[in-house]
Amino acid sequence: MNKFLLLIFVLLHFSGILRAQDDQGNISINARSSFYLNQRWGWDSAYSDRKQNKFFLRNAQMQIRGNAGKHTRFFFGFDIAQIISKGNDPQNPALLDAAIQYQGFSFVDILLGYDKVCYSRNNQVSFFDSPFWQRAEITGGAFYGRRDIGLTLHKKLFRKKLGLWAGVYSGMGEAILQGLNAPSGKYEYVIRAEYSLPVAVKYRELDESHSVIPIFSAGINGKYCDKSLPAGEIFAGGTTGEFATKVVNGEKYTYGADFSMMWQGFSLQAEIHQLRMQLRDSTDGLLNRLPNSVTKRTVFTGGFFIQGNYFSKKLQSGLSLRYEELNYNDLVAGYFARWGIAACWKPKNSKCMLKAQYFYNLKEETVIDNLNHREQIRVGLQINLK
Amino acid sequence: MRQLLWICLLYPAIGCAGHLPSTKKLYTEVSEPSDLIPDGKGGFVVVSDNGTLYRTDAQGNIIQKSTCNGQDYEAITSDNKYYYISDERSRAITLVDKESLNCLRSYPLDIQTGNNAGLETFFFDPAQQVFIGISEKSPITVYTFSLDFDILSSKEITFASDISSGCFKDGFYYLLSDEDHKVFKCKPDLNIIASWSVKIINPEGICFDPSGSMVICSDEMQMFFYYNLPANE
Repeated sequence: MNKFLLLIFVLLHFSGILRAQDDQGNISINARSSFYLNQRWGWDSAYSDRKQNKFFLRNAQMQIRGNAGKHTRFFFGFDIAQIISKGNDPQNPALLDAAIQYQGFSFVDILLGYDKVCYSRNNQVSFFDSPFWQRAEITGGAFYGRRDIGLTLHKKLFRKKLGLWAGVYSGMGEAILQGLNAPSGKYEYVIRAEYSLPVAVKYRELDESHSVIPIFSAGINGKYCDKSLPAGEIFAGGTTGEFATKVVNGEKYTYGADFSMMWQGFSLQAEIHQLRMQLRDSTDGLLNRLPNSVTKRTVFTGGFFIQGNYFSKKLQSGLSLRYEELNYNDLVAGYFARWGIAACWKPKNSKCMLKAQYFYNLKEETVIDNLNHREQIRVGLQINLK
Repeated sequence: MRQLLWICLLYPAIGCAGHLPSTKKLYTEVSEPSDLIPDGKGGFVVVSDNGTLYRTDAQGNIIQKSTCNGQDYEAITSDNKYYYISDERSRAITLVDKESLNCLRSYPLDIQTGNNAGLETFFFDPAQQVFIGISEKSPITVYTFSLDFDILSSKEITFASDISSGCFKDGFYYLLSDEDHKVFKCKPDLNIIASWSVKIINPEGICFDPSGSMVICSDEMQMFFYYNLPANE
């Protein structure tokens, strides 16, 4: 099966795209891939594992997109590299989307299926449109699900300047694809509002078209779910995430805000998010064995990033600078801080991109996620036949 | 620090320098307008990204809505008989009755491009009795079509980042670039004679009204902008 998928991908890559159409609709299949060299420096002397210094095939994606009639769109995308490697990285999932959208009602658009959750502006920006190889830690999907199965309602108002979203999802994030649900059987509820001036902003990091008028957008969003475990039940393995925050035994409130602007090739994005977890069990691992009088069974995770970019049309090149901070757990001393710089080059009339990023870890959380290195460089190419 | 402040203050002025000033701008009721053409009655016929066709008055108010039901209308042009609409997504040209705005029939085009990458620009050249169709970008391909919509020739151009619309006037082609925010005046052989920068976000459609003013519609701003071009160019 994997070999069959790989063969289709290779054929698509060399043939470009497949497409079919009639009066009632169309369907197209696009292929895109990316691969890079990763190198780290400044290793902790006691740490001997260097497996992250590697060449890596990040993506080998196929995307099926189309319209069925005037109002119905469908999306289906998957990543063969992740399927073969059985990877479950929320930044780079095996299934990208499997959803259908109906835009035939005047009062609301409806999206049903597995897709990006309507939370966080950065979550909506495609990796293939970013000069960086990695998202900021707080928005990368390690702390909350970036994708999920559910229903999303979307309404645009005031000449599309105001966007409103409301969604109900499984609350399991990417883990729902393994058929794993929390024993509580409860859902996650998400809302988002975004206002842009003077026009609706596009989900891009680089201002490649050099907007002649400054464009601003600001958004706020929140999520709520209660996955408290019934007596005697436990979460299935792999559902709580790398830092045990994606699904917790208790109530979880996630809230955040974002800002972006673009003008004359300059662009700026900033986002801040916090998770407030009201845990049911005073012995929960997230409370770090601290007494109930100290924790009140409440733990916070939060972080932010700010990213400035410039895109030169003449050079077809972009330069980005990002600063981010993250506190994995407010009950543990220390936090993580990192600078990142990225450069990219897009050949004219091409959607391919050569990109390089450099990360410098300023401060490192050593208790929960000791990175064991100080610097990282990642250089590679993404091929996008669209 | 003071120098940095001066740069910040002066940058907008530098950035705005050289733009062709608009003489008038107005909002239109048409959502996502992607191209327009004078209707001969003082208003415009406007196509929309959502596959709908409208007639507006001179103030941009909708006065007639067509029953046509496309997927992604991106360009409109006309000859003596009909309006012709390019549906970028379905890669077809639709003939429309000028009075009723009813769709009469569609002609699929034999062009091989990606999804939603059909003809972004489509206009009639009455001097050569041909239609000109242009794909938006990556690459920008200019097709010459016969009156039966057969491809007569094709040529790639590289002087713009993209071409979002075009029209014919007095023997010249006026091509609009969304990403460059520019209008290019070309000979029919696509050699550039002049170009002007316009301060519009997402300019998608271009035409000339009966008084000779150049009119550009912005999709995202949902506005019409009027310009008087320099007489000597």
